[in-house]
Amino acid sequence: MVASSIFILDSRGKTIISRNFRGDVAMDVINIFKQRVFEAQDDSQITPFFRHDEKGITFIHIRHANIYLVAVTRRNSNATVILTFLYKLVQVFTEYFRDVHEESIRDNFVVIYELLDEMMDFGFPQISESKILRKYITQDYRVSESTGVLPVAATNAVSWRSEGIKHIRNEVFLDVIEKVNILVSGSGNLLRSEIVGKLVMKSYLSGMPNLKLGLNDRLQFEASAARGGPERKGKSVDLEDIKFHQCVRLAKFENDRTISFIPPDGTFELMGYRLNTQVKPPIWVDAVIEQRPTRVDYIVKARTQLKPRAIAKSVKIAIPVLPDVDTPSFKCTSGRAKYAPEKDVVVWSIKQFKAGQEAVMRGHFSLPSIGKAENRENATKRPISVEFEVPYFTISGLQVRFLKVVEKSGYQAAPWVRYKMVAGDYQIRMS
Amino acid sequence: MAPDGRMFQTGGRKGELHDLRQGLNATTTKERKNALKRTVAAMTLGRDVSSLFTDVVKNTAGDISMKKLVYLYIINYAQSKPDLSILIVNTFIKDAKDHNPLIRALAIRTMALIPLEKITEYLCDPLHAALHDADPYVRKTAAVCVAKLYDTNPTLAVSEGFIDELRQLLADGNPMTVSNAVAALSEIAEASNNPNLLPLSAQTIPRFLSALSECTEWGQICILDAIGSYTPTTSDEADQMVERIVPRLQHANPAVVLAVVRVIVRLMPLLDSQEKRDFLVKKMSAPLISLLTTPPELQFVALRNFSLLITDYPHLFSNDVRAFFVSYADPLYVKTEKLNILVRLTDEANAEDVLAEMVEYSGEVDAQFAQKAVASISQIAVRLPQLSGQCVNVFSDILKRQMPHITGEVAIALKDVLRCYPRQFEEIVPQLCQYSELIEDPNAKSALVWIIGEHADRLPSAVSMLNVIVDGIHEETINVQQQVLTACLKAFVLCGPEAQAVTKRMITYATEESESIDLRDRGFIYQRLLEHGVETAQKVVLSNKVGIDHSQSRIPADLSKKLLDSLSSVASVYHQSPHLFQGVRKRMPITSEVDESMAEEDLLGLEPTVEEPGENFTHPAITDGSSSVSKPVGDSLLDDILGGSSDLRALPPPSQNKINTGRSLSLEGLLNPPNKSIHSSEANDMLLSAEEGNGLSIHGQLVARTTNSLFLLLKLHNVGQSPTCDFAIQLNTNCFALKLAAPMDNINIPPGKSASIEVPLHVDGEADEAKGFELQVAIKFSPGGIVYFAVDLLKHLSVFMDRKSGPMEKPSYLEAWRKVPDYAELSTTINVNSDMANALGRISETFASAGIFTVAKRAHVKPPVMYLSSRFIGPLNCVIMAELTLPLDRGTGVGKISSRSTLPAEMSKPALTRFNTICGELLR
Repeated sequence: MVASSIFILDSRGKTIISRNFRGDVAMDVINIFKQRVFEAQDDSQITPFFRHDEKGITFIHIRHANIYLVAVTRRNSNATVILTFLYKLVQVFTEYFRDVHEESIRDNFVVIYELLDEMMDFGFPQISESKILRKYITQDYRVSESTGVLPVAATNAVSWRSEGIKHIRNEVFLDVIEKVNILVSGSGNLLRSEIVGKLVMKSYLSGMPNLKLGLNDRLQFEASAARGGPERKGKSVDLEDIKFHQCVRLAKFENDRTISFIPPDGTFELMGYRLNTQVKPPIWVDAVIEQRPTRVDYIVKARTQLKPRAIAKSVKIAIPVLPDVDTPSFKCTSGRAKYAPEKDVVVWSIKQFKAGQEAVMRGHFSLPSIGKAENRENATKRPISVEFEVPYFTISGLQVRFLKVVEKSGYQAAPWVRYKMVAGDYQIRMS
Repeated sequence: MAPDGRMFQTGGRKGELHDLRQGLNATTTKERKNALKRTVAAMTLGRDVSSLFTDVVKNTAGDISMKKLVYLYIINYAQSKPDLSILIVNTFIKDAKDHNPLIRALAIRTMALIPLEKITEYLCDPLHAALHDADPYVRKTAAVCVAKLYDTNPTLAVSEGFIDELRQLLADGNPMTVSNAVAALSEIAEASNNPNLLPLSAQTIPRFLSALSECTEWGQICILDAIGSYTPTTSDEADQMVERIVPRLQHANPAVVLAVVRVIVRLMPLLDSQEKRDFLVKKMSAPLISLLTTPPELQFVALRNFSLLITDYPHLFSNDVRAFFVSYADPLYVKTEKLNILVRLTDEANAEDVLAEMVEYSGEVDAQFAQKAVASISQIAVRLPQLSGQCVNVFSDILKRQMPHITGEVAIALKDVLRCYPRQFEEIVPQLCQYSELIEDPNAKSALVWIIGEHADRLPSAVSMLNVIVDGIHEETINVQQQVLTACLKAFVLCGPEAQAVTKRMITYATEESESIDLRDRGFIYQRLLEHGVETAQKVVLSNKVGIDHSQSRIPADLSKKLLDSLSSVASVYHQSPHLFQGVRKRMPITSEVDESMAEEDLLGLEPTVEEPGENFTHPAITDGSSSVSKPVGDSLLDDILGGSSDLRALPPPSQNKINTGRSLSLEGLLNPPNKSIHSSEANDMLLSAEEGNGLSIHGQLVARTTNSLFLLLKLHNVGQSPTCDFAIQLNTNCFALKLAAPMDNINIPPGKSASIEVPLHVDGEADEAKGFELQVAIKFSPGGIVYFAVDLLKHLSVFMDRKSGPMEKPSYLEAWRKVPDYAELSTTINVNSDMANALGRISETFASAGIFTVAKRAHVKPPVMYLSSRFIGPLNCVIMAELTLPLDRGTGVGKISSRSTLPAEMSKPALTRFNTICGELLR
């Protein structure tokens, strides 16, 4: 049904790891993949799917850092399962040895073989919870919790948490992180604004705690009112789509919008959500370019559109410049600007950008007199991109109202909640 | 501890094997472990370390981590060292009884992966134990092992009763065991083409649904995929199913979301309330849009699936057009797919936004994407007439930018638009011509020249432009030259004498200077055309244009339906028939030893053979259109030939589908491969000559596509002078109760052309035995009137053998056999191929795929005997029974087939003669 074999290749296409799960493809087929990928003229020719018709096999691959993870199948397999599984592999490897790249794969090949063996059997994905895997796949890897004994949870209904966890202090931290994706047209119209948020939980709770999370979700309010609960006042948020971690009881959520779950121990992403609402872009950028035969001037204005007292931090505004400019000079009312020739952009960084503040950056470049106007025309077609983060703030207005922890031993656990907004795919097109 | 990475670098050195061997035999565990790791590293790099087999195997006694390495090594090399592999069987058996469940599971998992018979023999006992192990981890591993065993040795898997044990696991208390059992059973069901293996019914479905919430994400997908093939009988049942799975749309795993959508889409038509359906469409939309926030590879799969979904649910994303706006950071493959979706979501309400985006994209640095954006605008214009004006304005804006790669693309795009809406947007033509010097690409230039020719009378500069092009005609490609020639003629027809000189120059070039035969021919044709006068030429060159079919790029409806059924699969990404991706299962030939080990069977009262894998896994022949390009020629050939394909467009021409085994060749002719018949008329029988057919010659044949669904394939060739149309077809009553399933498609065959049609047939009419084996057909068409012809059904007898029925029950077989008088038996001697004669299993397999089933066999009598039965489809309800005596000593030689039928006496003899011939050909 799923993958026949999985390969991990280095940046030059050499096999580091290969695992044949079904024995229905020869292991040298990977050479076909190598040829296709490494003979492609440029990256844009490479798609995640390659099919070799005569052999009747399909290659599905993802790239991570400088490695390729390739799955081979000779059936009409579930492509989404294969891709999510490959991403899951990267996630588990990351949790095992932090940075996943050529060297770390080579250094840890034994444990990788073990993991592959545990995570996939005959092409079917099996146990992929790294928190559980770490309890018994510990070969040559010094993990304190190493027991070498199979945890009961591996195959249980609650497959993400072992029993008998003990913490001296029972604490739970919740990070609400909202990514804002913005697309502004050259004429200054907001084309798209989307908020993609996630709740990352760090739970250090003993035993088998049952948690219940309350948000100012409009539908949750309504559902609670319908059950005869107290009428809620205050701002509520319309979440367009919510995605939950495996641990959340989905049927219960569907019924009465209650988010209840037994959390895994440690850090995990509890939920993700998305809403498409018209928001004011938190940072607005305007760029004017004056191009003369031998020089080009940039005047870039940036201003925040935040609630009072909010502060945008680590603001980085990347303004595309012509590829053949030289001798840059900048003047900024705040922050610093730097020319990054490898990307043909000027990066203007502002450490702290307060609400209602405005800043201007003027840049001057010389231009060689010979240069194709056409190339220059193209260069300005790239958008300005902006990075920043705003702590203690959510743009959607989402709030955690409560987090109840119930465990049979009856301990109290205080939840800690932090909010943060960050820029996601944030683009302002140049006029 | 040294990082293991260094082990990869020791390669190439002389004496590496020697070093490793020493290490593997070292006294300290640490050294041995180190050597083991280096061995496995070398193996990964593709170096041959198989000579270390005995040294590696010695290390199985170590701790679990060493065991894992040794087992990894064994899986790799067991097949090349079958004799040595036996040495480790004992270790496997010992480990399978270890107190640690991890080791027990590891042992059976590894054993099952080694496709050596000698190993699998020893696997049975530990596997039985593992399926009932106290530890769920071992049980869930064992469940998958059954699928592995079935893959390598289906006979054993069935005869040992593993399939039944697997079905018992469906009621296991552990969710992972259940989901693995579901996965294994689905796999075996697919391989054996026995969909009933997984018990799906109104009673069992709720059980699967409640298991759903307890499973891991992967388990949920397995179960969702499995229950997706169940069709509820009532709308209430469908309702309940939907209600149970809808919450899963909120799962974080995109594969779960798509698996849910797939099931919902399948259940949708069964729901009786429109309100509910609308609700579900709304419910699915947000989670689907969320898939666009996943990594690009997953977005790609999602987008390819979206384009399937919006064909059936056009309003699914109508409020989310902006979600498909392209981000600068997207990879090209995502950008392109978003563009495709945007084109299809465009309507009057959002046109302004979408077109503004397209203009933006057309200015992108990436030329390929920019060009696609331009092409998309013309697709919108062609699809939605009310937006065509707006699109043309957009083109005008883009032209003003004077970008070379885009200007050419605009010419190509405009050609389509102008062709689709003749004489409506002429004002754009002069503007395009203004930038004509930017156009270099031959395709774009052809388009430009076409536009000039079409609008020569409205374009003052037309003649002068043509003059310029003709000046440099030598440098143009042949396609451009042809366009120029035609454009000149159009200009001459439209503008008269003004264009005479250039037309003459071009015709002279074409007929006298050009080396291209095509161009010269065209030149001569135009020359003679002009000799007939301008009016004649006008009629020809300004004839009505064939409209543009904007649905052309769309997927045909039947394929689209199949793809929706397999949403999220590889086929759904490629938008190609799922059958093309159904690779062959690697099948171990059932050797004579297996035959020997099979229980003796006696016709009189032994266990039934229904469960016997020889038949169980030969049913793929029944699959619907399983023909695949990619299949290697082998046992699966039968599937190819018999299965046929309902998606012929996806097939390569038959020449690529060369079949080169002797046995198959004979089969090919015998069983009328439908894909062959479409492509080459030679394979068809001449049914009616042109003289008898009033100017229509007819070739044709009967084929079985899917199980018991029959088609009459006809190739009609119009040899007359006038087009034929208004076709209708009628069948006379006949012995197999064939009846038209649908009226004939309305077709139109121009003179000198042919058309191939497929007439679907049913077998639920009335059987009329009086007609013998003749199917009388009448075709009515104008202007020919009614013509009659007959199809010889005897020749197509194999088509009527029911491939689904399975063997007869033994008692009724015996009874029926005895009822037929001895004199009505027909015996024929046949030649049996030695390969075939050696494997009774293969014979049953081959026969079963032709609809002839084995009721019983006696492998050990000399000579071996098989009892066969074959039932005809339809109300005729007749059976042919046969006793096949194989050659003595199982070598090549002469065997005998004696057959009897329950047909009426006068039909019996010809039918049996044909039947014996078919069997003979199957055995050759």
